[in-house]
Amino acid sequence: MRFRLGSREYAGDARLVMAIVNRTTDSFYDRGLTWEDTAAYARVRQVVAEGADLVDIGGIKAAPGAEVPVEEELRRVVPFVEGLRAEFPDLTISVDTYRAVVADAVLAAGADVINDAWGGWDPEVPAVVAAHGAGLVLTHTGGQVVRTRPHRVEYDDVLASVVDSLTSQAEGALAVGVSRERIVIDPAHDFGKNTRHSLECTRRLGELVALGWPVLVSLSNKDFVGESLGRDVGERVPGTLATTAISAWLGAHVYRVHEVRETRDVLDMVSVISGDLAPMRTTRGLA
Amino acid sequence: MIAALAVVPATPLLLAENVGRVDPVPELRSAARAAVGSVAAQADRLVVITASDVDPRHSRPPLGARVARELLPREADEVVVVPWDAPVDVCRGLGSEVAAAALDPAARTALVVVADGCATRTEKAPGHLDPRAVQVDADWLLALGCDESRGDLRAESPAPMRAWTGEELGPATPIDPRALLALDPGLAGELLFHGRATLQVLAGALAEDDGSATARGALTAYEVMVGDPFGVRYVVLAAH
Repeated sequence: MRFRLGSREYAGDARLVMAIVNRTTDSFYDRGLTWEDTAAYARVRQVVAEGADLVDIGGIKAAPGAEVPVEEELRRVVPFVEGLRAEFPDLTISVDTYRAVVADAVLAAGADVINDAWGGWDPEVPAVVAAHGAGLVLTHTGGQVVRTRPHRVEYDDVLASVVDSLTSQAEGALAVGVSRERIVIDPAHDFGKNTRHSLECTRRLGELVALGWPVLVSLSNKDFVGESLGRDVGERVPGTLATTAISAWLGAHVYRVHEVRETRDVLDMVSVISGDLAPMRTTRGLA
Repeated sequence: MIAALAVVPATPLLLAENVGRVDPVPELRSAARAAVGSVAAQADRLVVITASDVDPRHSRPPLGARVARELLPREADEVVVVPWDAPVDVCRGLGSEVAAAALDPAARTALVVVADGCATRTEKAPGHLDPRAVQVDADWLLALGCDESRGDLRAESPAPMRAWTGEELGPATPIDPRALLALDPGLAGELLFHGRATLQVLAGALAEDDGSATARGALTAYEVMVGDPFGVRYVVLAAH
């Protein structure tokens, strides 16, 4: 299996770091840390230096909160994408949005991928992506309304729901002309899921990998990690990294994260153990 | 006739299977490849001389033979493996056989000697620090015609690999088999001087009955690189 993101082509054994860069005032983890332009550009420069393969820019926090009108979302992300494209001509830029009109604007501004994090809420997104020859991340929310929390959601088989939804979204994307090698699937931990659902998605990730699409996982500091360990936001990095290692061993390809350097090391360590990557430098016992 | 000689270390770092994303010994590798390649290019016959492994836990050829195979542009015509702890007279006898097989003046023989010095040159060396190693290594290097006491050649250990210039090498001095045959096997064992027996096979190949250099074996080093980046003395040398 090979896939493409931006100008890069990857093999099936690739393990990529997608660095989260929020252009929000209220995201749960960074709480507006990269709201200002200066901080946002500094964050991108830092994550690129730390080994991020791509960045994911978001203008609206996922959880419920203040309404962000289209014009405001555009104002938050479009000039930033333009600026990043100018400064980093080869960097793969993803934008996290559920609105086709925003997707169209950021792709015109130089973005490469749309991370449709609300499971195809706006049915026009795939056609917009296709028109730009861009990449598309498909997600499973179980039909959850955008920016709402799951409440007493049950599935007969959460993985079956994930597989059905993502397979059907992928077929739909192909049908409107999205390139097969630019489609990525994401089970979307915590989206329309309680902690046990997200844990099952992790435990059975191999079933998703077996579908043959590149798999993105977004685990970073999420509630299912916190609830698993009894850790508040801010204390979830070890749990996130453990989940990252297991997901990598099970074959996921793209990791959407806050902690780039740590994730890079975890992914590279898994790749070295699995034999997909040579160790960096070996002299022990060999002098 | 013995027309050319290359000396390279027997370190597994020179095997491709041990190179990671970053080559820990890029200078050593390119120098070793160049030295072996240059003497092989001048030769009709290629003879590899190396020692058995000290602690073999495998069924592969000795490490030195695999290093030679990796560096050589073609398969050697003969691979001589001396037991690493062989007595001096055994080494010398093996060397005489090498010389006898190389008597034909029309066939130019190149020797590829895979041997290294003491592995006790620093606290982090495989055999920890033994202060006697410095002198022993200087002795065998001097026997090969390279005088570490000249100028600033004697570096603090660990030292990165460094090529010696022609000026630093001084006037060309032929290899001295007698001095190589004087290396003490007991002390060599204590200093993890794995190449001792191999160098004494070389000495046997170059020596007359009285131990002096023969006309056929009057080889002189012209390219030398020395270092001990991991506390083991590595020498890369080409001579003709």
